[in-house]
Amino acid sequence: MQSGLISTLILLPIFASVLILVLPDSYKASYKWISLLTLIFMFINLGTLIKGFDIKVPNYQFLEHFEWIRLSLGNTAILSIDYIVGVDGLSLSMIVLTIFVFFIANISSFGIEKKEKAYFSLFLLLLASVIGCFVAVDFFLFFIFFEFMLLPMYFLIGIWGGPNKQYASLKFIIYTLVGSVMILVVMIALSMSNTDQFFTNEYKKLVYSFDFRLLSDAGNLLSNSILSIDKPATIFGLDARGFMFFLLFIGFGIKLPMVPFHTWLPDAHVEAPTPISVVLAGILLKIGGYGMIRIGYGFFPDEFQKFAILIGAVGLVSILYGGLNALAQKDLKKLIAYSSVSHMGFVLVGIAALNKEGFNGAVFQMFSHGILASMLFLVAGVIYERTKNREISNFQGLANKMPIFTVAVAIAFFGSLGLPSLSGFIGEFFTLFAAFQSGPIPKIIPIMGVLGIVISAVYLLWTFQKMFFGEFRTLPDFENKLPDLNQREFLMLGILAVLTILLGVFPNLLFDYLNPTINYILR
Amino acid sequence: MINQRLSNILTDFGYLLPEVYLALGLFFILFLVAFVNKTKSIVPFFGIMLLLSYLFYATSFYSGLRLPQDGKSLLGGMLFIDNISLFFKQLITFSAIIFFIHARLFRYQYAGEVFFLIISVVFGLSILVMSNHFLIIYLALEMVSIVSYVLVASKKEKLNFEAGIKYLIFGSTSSAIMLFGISFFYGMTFSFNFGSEEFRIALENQSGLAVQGLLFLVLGGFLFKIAAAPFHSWVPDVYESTSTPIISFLSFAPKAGGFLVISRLITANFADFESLIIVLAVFSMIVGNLAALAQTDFKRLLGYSGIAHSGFVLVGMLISSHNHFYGSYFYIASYLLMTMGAFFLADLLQVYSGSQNVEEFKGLGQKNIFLGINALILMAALVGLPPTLGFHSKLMVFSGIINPPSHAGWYYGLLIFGLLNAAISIYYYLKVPYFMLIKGSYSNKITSNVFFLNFVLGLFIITILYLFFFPDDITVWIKSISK
Repeated sequence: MQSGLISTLILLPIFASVLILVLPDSYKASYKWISLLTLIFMFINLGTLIKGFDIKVPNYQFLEHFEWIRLSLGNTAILSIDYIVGVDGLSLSMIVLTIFVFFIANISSFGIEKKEKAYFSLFLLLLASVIGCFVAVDFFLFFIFFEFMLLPMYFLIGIWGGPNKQYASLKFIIYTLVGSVMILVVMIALSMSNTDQFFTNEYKKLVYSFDFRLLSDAGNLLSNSILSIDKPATIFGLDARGFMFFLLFIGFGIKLPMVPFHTWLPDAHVEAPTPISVVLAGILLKIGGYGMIRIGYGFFPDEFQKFAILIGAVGLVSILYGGLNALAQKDLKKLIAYSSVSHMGFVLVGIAALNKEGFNGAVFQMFSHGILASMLFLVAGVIYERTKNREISNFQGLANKMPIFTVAVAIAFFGSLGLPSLSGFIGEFFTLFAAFQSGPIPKIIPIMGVLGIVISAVYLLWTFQKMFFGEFRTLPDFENKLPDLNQREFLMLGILAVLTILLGVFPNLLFDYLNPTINYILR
Repeated sequence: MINQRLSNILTDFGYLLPEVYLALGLFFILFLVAFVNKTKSIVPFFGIMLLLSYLFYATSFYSGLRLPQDGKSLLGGMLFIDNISLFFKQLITFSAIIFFIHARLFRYQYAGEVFFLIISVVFGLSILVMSNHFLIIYLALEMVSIVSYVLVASKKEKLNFEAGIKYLIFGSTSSAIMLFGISFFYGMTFSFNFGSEEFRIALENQSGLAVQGLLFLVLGGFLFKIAAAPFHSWVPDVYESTSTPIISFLSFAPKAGGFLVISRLITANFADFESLIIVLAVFSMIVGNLAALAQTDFKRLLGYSGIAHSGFVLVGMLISSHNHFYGSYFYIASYLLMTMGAFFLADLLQVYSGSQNVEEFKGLGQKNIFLGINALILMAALVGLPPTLGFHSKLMVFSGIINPPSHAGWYYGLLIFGLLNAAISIYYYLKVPYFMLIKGSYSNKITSNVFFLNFVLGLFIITILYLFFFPDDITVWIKSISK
């Protein structure tokens, strides 16, 4: 049965984007509403999806499968590229996060006052490609959406960004492009090593497939191909499969970002406008983690086993190095950017644990970080929009002036530093817990990881104390510019705060969907 | 005996009717240029008619021939036709037709001779693509080269003469190098026909290193034509100063011919091409891309990008003889659209901004959003980003070397190196849409009546996008010809 529900999720924003592009400038004011309406429709669509989703089925559901490209390679082989989309628990949770984050970012975008047409059409294109990335069940399709994300993002940072936007957007696009190039190598190698046996018999030619379900089945590997398990070729002294693992690890690691490939992130965040920072931290980083689980572990499980220590160690370094860097920042947004690096490190540790709790925890951490990072960047945005300044030392005692804001900031900060009953705690707890239990990685990694929580408590509480407690004091220019939250900001922060509390108290809301899929992936 | 030979020659000429037709047409055009007044509008008209009729005639004639799979030797081995030569004839003729359209749309006031010379290039290349014989290849290549020198210098400005002289000196040097190599090969094998069995056998006993060295010398002539490093140094000046439609044509047609000859050399398999081609490809990609980073002149930038693209096609030439060079042929076919589209864009931007400097394009895309989007898509195609045809061409080329029989490390090194080069190239390609879309504008004089030009550019873009979604149209085309 092809319900078309998922394709609608991809097509709706594309249509809306084209609509905005062709509407004349006199409808300027309606662009943001069109965009918002699209997201509301997508929420309805998502509701139907969740309602029809069978929790117990671990595999892809709502599959839509169309033949797309049959590219002849010489006279003996065909590259078969299909349009296959579907969701399982993992991708469904990521889609939910995507739509929430974009919804919040859209409300936050109401403040955009420059070239609205281009902004909202790019914004919706970005939304479509992110969704496409999460629902693709064909590697080629995944890659196209993955790569296509770069262009809207480049322009969103490059046009609407801060003073140093040119540098930041270029750095962003080159870093991510290098990452996607590595993924591309793996994609070509994987597909050229796997055949679709049914169609191979049908056409009497080798049919290379990109279908995730075929790629993850070792039975389809060609015995004489470079990735064959028995006698893989040697590339730079590594066996070919290990080499592919490294390419994927770095490729998705740049996106995640992991130390030492994280340097694009602070620059991009500092320059990006608030809604784009929200999208970047809330969703785009998660594609790295998603890809590592779905594609990395999905196709190279043995290599993950083999290099688990490395993954865990890189995760640990990200946690500590990101945290220590955050400690040293004077700029609020930069601090949050580095805290993102630190928190995404937990995802890596969870993945490295290679057990059920670890993967569940990693995905939960991604989800929770999506909410909390969005909140944090909104918080930075609230201050920046009022004063055009983000220096932490310029503000003191904001709690007196902005009490509601202070509550929201408290939830975001305490959520991030892992206070129980908020969502951040569950993610960090599960990943570290899993790492303690895990076979392949040594105990030192989770032990040092706990230190990361302490560091994050230090920089977040310190910032909180410096900015919000004590007597109200700020630069003279700003004194009258700091009213409390307006309705729009209250709505955005409120939704996110409710979500983080909800997930902190009822983590099963997410785990119920994740568990069967994770078990299936780990089988 | 002699009668037998004569009749053989006569029958073999029967296979060359389209070229004979083209040659006669050329004489007719020359006659027009020389003796008829007001040649300006008549010559392009007859020129494009000649090309169109040649295109259809050659297509129907050669596809009606039912040539054997591995081609047919004519005139005692001087010429060699197979189906892929028809494919290249189509591509080259098509690019010449685009030249005529381009020149007409932008109202270039060329002298009639220029059109004659362009068709001469097509003729020379048509001969070049159907030979396995060093002598004929040399003659055809010289015909193309000498005509190109004149074309480059056709605009009577100081820069043009400089470029023309540079082109001439580099071109004749590489021709001489090639001749030098050919003479050695002749000395070793007593044959010019590198496709023949005796040529290969005679070389088997020679020292491998010597053959490699000579091969490099012979390749020199073609590397010059395809603008691959280290025979690339003429490119930037020539690209910058030659008038746009001519360089648009020259950036594609002679390259295509050169690539076909290289692939024929590889198919002949008389030496080990692997290491040489890897080195040349790596060198071309890195030289082209790094030099392009610093360019501000759009046409110069395209010149360097052409060097890098030649490197990519060379990658497709590696170990793909078993899949009939599909990757590189696909790349060349898509390169036609991308490079000629880019030069069309260059001319259009020249009309808008009066300059070829990338920084002068400021704000053009904001005034005309479709121009901006078109430029973005075209540049994304040159980088190789989806959803454009450029992505498939890179995919095809690199999928050819993904399962190498040996030396996996080399090939994967090349693969990653090549793709990283694509990542570098985004920096300079995106400059154009960056200035057009992001940088603020200042008052540009908008020339009226350019809507149609935008429309034609849009056709390029639509084709590039369409072929992303249905790339098999190209492979079916190649296959239908080389079945």
